Amino acid sequence: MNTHSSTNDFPAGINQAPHPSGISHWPDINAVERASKRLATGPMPKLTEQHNAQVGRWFEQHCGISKRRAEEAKQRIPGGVQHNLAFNKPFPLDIVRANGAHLWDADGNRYIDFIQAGGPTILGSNYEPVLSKVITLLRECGPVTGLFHGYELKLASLIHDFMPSIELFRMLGSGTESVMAAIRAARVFTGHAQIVKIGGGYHGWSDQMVFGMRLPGTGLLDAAGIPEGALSNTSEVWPNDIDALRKVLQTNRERGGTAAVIVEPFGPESGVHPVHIDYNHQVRALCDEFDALLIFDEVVTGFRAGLGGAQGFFGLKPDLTIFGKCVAGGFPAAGGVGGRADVMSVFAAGIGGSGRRAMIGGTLSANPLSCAAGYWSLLEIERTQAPAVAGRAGDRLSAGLQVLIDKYQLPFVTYNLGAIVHLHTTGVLQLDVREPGAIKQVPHRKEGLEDFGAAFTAEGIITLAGSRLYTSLADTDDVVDDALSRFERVFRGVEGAIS
Amino acid sequence: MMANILITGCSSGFGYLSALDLARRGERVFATMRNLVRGQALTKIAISERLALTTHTLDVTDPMSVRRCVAEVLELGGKIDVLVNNAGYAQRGPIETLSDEEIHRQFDTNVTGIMRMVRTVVPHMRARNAGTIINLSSLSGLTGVPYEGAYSASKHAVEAISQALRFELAATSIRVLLIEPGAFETGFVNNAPVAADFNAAHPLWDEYQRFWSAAAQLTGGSRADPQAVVDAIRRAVIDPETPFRQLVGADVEFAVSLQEAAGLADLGPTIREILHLPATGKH
Repeated sequence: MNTHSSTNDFPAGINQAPHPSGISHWPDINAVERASKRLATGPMPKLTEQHNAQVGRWFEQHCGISKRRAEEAKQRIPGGVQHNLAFNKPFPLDIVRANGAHLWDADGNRYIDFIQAGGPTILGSNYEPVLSKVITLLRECGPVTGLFHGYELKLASLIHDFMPSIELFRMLGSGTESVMAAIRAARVFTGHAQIVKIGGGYHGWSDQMVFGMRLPGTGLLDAAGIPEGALSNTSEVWPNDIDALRKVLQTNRERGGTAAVIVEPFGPESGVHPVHIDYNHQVRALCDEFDALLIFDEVVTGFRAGLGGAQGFFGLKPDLTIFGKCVAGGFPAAGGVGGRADVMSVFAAGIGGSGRRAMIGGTLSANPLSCAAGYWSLLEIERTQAPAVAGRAGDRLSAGLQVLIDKYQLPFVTYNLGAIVHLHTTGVLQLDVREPGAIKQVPHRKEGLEDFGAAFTAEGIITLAGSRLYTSLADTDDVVDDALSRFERVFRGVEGAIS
Repeated sequence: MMANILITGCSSGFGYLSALDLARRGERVFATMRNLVRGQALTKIAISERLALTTHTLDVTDPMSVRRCVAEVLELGGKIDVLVNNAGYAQRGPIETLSDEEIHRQFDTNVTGIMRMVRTVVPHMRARNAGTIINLSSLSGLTGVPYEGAYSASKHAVEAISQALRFELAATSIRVLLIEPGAFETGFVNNAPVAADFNAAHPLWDEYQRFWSAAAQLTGGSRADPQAVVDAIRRAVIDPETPFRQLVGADVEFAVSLQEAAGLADLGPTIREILHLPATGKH
């Protein structure tokens, strides 16, 4: 199925941001949905036993040091691993060096880096011009003083220049914290309690957000260790279903009203269910109708979609915006919430210091290191037009993958939203839990996906959870073409691949 | 093992569809209806597909008919494993226009009818300490639907009877289950009589028409395939884990979530707004 019959003839107001976005075209969402459904309801594609055995041998022969360290790590770290983004089958790799488009492990193997630290390093890993500014700052005052530093203001001003909706910006330690803060602010500002998210969306792991995670319709499934009361004011709605959102907002009005609707603007899980191009505008209108705030979670799209973020691309102003790791260019302790001055002022005890204050804190929030790294990263992203370059790499990668999918007649689904490339092989994220028996398919299809992840790694490609590929400024045509030839070697090893 | 299933109201709608569905999965179905002539289609299919399905006369408003039919089924099948109380219809019209006769008929069929069936079948189930009773309620059993006030009252009664019966049979192995469908395409509406005294001269006539066309928007289009209700009935028959209540349809889910959110507060103004009906005056 070719999902590339897409539109680059954008509707009025879309893709008009002053800074070039990374989005050259928007996928045909109906075609993506059809292809995704076919993938998730058909037999699961899997690698031949022969190919899986070959992958196993590769790890045995080439990753001795990583394997040993992984064994030792199990003695001191739960499960031996502290990172959710990569698959760790057969064992986590010990990555010792990162530069530009590549990663190196302790055994000296080189990989093409499509995980990009989960999104933030749109400049490529370990980008020297930012690194040298950060080292200078560290020599001057170290990473943290617990007091104000001029870089905080410089960063907040720069974000406002690129995203005019960010009238005030509050730096925090992570995307998770920033979502917590934004929800608290929305509740204080509106006086409403209810929060609505889109099924499958990821907004960090705070108690109230572990609801309908990864797969739409799963509700409390992942909420182990969280009292139901903590989630009693959270609802999820099906992606792209605007009528369902209206019904939940109507229902919530009976519960005292909705404080905020929080969305990943490209669709849940960075566009696993990509939105129709007018969806966010419809959400904006519903939020206005029901006096709810609109929160854009731009942890991934913030600067990856363009310096104006997804909101710049869609030509929309959310009330609040969530930033994550991107806001410090991948340096530690990074996140933040920004938006309308009247809403953001609840963090400062309301306008004029009266009214109830929304409590937030964090000693390492807004530390000089994070702020300087964010400031210089944003300037470099502007100078190099990194989102546009990385977006072009994404276009080339996804188009190339589609050629391979067609060549081997595989049911895989690929499309890209600029520098966010999707490659779905087993359909685990596309399962529709409303269909009887679908939920039982999850473990099996997840395991299949892990096999694909391992096979990609053995061919020298690191992906995000086997299904997403983040591109960067460092992804030249040569890098992308090299990746495609590596992907082809895996595709050839799929059961039933025809060429 | 094949179950003996008695279903009431099989000449059309969920009863007809369920009778076929259950027979096709190999169950022994006694499809009952008031007028046997209307069962010819079922009989024809049963013969051509070699299904264990027979049709029988049963008028749930007639105690003699109930006794006769249950005796006949027990004689033929030796036992009744499942009783599906499906027979029913919706009396329409504003409360103020309904006659005693119309109200009585509504309750005689929808409420007393079920109680007659229970009274006649439960002793046999008790004797075997086994059985399943499935009562078809409705969205109207969970919230008072305007212009269907008598029907809503009768379905609220079905809810209450089912809760009480379940409690009273708790010490036995007899299960009591409810199914609450929303609006589905079964011809049910065409079979719904409107109050004789309600006509175009009545001040509510226009709103009545607008209410039903607006309410039709809530069923979610494709979801209105009656197969979903047939599936729920089948689940109640075969799956011991079936919950007491099965809400079937986008409109029911929405209405119930609204009511849950509102608690005991009046939902009228909200429903009016959702259906784009003019706001109410002062109460």
